[in-house]
This record gives sequence, structure tokens and C-alpha cells, in this order.
Amino acid sequence: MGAVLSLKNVDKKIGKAQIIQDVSFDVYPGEIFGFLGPNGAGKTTTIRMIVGLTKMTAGDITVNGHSIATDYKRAIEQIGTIVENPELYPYLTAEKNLIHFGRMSKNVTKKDINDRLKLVNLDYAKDQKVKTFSLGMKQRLGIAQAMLHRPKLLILDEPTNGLDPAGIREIRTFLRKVAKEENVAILISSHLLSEIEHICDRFAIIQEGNITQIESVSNESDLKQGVHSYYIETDNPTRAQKLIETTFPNLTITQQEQFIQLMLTKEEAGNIVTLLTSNDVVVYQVVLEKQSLEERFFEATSGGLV
Amino acid sequence: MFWSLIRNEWMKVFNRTSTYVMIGLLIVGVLITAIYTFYQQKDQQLPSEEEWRSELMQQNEEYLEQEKTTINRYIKSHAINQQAINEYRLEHNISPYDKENVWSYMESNTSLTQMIGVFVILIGASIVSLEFKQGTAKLLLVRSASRLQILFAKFATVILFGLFLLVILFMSSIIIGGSLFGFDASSTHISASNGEVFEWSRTLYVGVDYLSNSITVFMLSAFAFMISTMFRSDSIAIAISIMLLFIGTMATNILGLITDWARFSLFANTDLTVYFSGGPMVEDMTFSFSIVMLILYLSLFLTLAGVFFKKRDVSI
Repeated sequence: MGAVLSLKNVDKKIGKAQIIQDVSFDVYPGEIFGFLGPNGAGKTTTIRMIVGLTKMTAGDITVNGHSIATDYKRAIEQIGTIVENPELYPYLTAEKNLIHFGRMSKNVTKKDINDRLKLVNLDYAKDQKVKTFSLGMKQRLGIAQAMLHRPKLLILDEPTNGLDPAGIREIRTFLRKVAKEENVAILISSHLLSEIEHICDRFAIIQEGNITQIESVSNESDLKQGVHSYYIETDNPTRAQKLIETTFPNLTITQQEQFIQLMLTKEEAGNIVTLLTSNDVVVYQVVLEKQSLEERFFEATSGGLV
Repeated sequence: MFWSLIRNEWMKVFNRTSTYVMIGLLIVGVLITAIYTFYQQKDQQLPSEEEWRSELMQQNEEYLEQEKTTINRYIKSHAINQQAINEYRLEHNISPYDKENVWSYMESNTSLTQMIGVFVILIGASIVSLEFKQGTAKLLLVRSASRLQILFAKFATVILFGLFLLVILFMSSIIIGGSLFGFDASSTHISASNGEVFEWSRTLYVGVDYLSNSITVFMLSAFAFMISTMFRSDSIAIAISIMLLFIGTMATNILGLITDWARFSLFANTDLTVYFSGGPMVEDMTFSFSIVMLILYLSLFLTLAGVFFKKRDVSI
């Protein structure tokens, strides 16, 4: 299936400063794509260019084949977005805010507005002015606003900012559902790794205006072949270490309190457990230390973070 | 689409408390001028025919003296016009003193259009910049409506709001003034320009006067709208526009004493009643010249606003 959003060699210069350099990536229908980077790396600038608030210096951005530079109206019709904070009209009620934005798109009915309010759990507060809202409520209303006209592409800048843990969970479940059931492509920016890890299928890392890496979140292929770090907890770590050293002399073992740590393949791990249990060492747990996205992020951006 | 955009803007204007404060102040303004006028005329005795005739004749002698001695051309033309009016009154036996009625009261409260001017400038200066201040411009501009459509819907709303206030002023003046002074409209208004005398029905004159006063309001709100769109700051726009509202005409008059080029100033052309009453700032100016100048100024303001609004990156 073709990409909904496609960035090709996008550049942005302000004066002499190169803000964004040669950024390219695609986002596909039904996919949640993470846009990860430290603050000031160019996430928001890129999002501004995608929605046409800022003009790019070079390159092209297309939404379902319509260029944002030359066919803005057709391109923007398919996008729903929150850029930075969900800034809505504070003196209007939640419902009136949605009526306002609904009038700016074709075919948004009163029922759509009520549906969206229910979807984000705000129907109880629809007659309340937005200035009385908490940040979480504003965030949810912002999402309702973005989804009002059934866009093919949702762009959310830091969507869980200001939400409590329950709210974050709710938004995650909700976005996954939207991506899956309505086949919407979703682009999410964040400076939080855990956020991207929990919600996205793929992600790009942006740093000082450059995309340094694009990959999938679940890196399962590595686990099948590679050597990984294992922690083994036993009742007698010193004896365990000796046993392993005599049977597998080429392994390096470090002891950490009740744990011994060593680099193993899957098969070796199995053999070691057999060895220990057959020699009356009680094994409480074997832990595979999966390299987290966080480590990969720091690997990818090594030295670049302030 | 354009109609929906105007409805949106109208909704936003009328969901703000300040809008209702403005409407309230305007009505209070009408009440104050009406009550003041009412107490002033209550004990007033209308002078007899003999009295006002001799008064006018005496005035004319003074005006004649002025006409001969003054070097200020505004004072001179004022003296000429007043003499013409007074002679017309003497000839047709029309007393300058008249029992107050709703129309004469409304003539005296046209200055309240200045108040409308201030309010419309406030709205015109904030309608664009507020979107940037609130950050809502980001959501407003990422829709299928083009930036120019949004901008002109906003301008149209400012103008509609001005008309709305004008209707409020007109209606409340008629209701309050009418109930205090009665609706008798038999008297006439007499004006003169370049020594030529015009006799108006009161009702017509009030209508023309209000309309003419709103031209200044209209042009200045377009000006405020342009400034606020260009600089995205309402305070600069409000300060400059309100200053111009109050001293623009006076400053242009001073300029007019020095040079004929003053005719190209906006304020030399905003008051179209001068062609019937008092005469234009520069003698050979005509009604159609003023209309052309107003259209040119308006297109300049709107073009500049449009160019700036369309071009800029939104970086809030």
C-alpha cells in the first residue's frame, strides 16, 4: 500500500541557519509512526512544514499524492493535527470549539461532533468553557478536533503531554484503535522514549535537523541469533560461578549480589540452567536483559545530546 | 465556506465578555447625553421672532468683519457659510431655536459614533492578533479554507460588527430620545458650503450624518486591521488607530493650512458631509475625488494586510 505521508529530502533554512536537513520518511495507513528527538531537534518545525504553517526551503511533502506546496487544499483536507499545545478558544465551550472547526470542513454534522466528544470522554463537559479545562481535557478536546473531519493522517505533537497515567493509557489504546479500525496513519512526535516504545510501530530519530535512524520498535530478529546479557539468580552465586567456570571456561562471569551476569546465546543459557540444577544449585530466575529503546536511542544519538 | 467563516468569527466575537461591555457602554452613553439634553432644554424659553432676528443680524455683522480681517481660510469660509445660513433663515423666517425633538437630539449625539469607532478599532485590531496570542491560529490555518478567505471573513466581521453597533446606537437613540423629546420632525436642518445653502429634512440629515461619521470609523478599522495583521500585535494597532481617530482630522486641518497636498490625506476625505456643510479642506476638492481616495486607501490597507497574512510563516 502507498504511503499516506511522504517527505522527500525536505530542507528548511532560516537565514543562514539550517534548521532541517534532507529529511525523508514515509508513513503508511494503519501505522503509528513515532518522531523522536530531543527538544529543539526540529520535530515541531517538521510538523509545521507538513501542515503548511511553515514553508520548506527545498524538497517535497505529499499527502496521498497531493503536494502540500502546490496542492495545499487537497493535501490539508486529509490531515487532522495538533501542533504543539492543544490551544483552543478559551472563551468558547468545548462543543462550540468543535462547531467552529467543524464549519471549516465539509460534511461535519452535529452528530459527528457529539460522537467525537463521546470518543474522548468529554461529552459531560461539552457546555463548559475551555478555560476551565485541565491540560488533559484540552489535550483530549484537541484530539477530538483533529479527528472531526475523518482525516487519513493524524499528526499529534506530544499528545500525552500533561496527561495522568490513566489518561496516557487511554489515549494509547484509543490511538491504536483508530489506526487499526479506521486505517488512519498516525504521526506522533515525542521526546520521551517510553512513549514511542509503547505506542509506535516504527519510529525515526531526529537530531539537529537530521534523521539519524528509522526502524521498527520491536527488534525481535536480533534476539533469535545474537548473544545477550543474562542475569541468573541462585541460592549460591559463588558456587554457581565456579561450576560454570569449570564447565564453560571461555565465558566471562560477573557476580552481582545474588545474581551472576554473563553473555550467552539461547542454547547456552539452557545448558547452564541444566548444569546448575543437576548440581543442586537452586535457580530462582533467569532474566534476559533486552536492550531497551532507550539504549538504542542513546547509541544512535551518542554524543549529540546535551 | 465564506459564510461559515463569518459565522465562526461572529460567534467568537459574541462569546467574549468585552463585546457585551461595549454594547452596554454605548447604551449608557446614549442615556447620559439624552438626560443631559433633557435637563438643559427643560427650562429653556424659545426666543421670540424679534429676538432671534436681531441676534442673527448682529451675528452677521460680526461674521462680515471676520471675513474681511482673518487670514485663516477655515475661519473665513466658516464666516461666509454662517452668513449665508443666517440670511437664509431671515429670508425664510426659520428660527435657529427649535423645540428639542428626537432628530435634533440625534444630531447632537453623533459624537457617540466616536465611541463606536473606538470599539470597532478594538475588535479590528484584535481579531487577527488574538488568534496568534492564543495560539489558535495554528488550528485555524490548517484547514481547507485559504488564508485569504479567513482574513477577509475576519474583515467582513469587523465591518458587520461596526454596522451592528451603529444600529444599536441608532435604535437606542430613537427609543430613548423619542420617549424624552417626542417624534415631531417638522423642523429643518440648514447647512451651507462655499456660501451655497442646503435645507434638509431633519430625518434625512441625521441619516446622512451618521453614515458619514461611520466612514471614518470604517476606514480606521481597516487601518487597525492592517496594522495588527502586519505586526501581529494589537497594542500597536490600537494605539495608532485611536490616536488617529481623535487627532487625525485636526492634524490634517493644520497640514491643510500649509499645503494643498493635504487633500491626499485620508482624513481630508473621510467626512463627506463637508461638501454640503462647511466646505472641503482644499477648495477645489470634489465629492468624487474623495470617493476615489477612500477606495484607494481601503485597497491599500487590505492589500497590505493580505500580502502579509499570506506570506508569513506561522511560528507560534
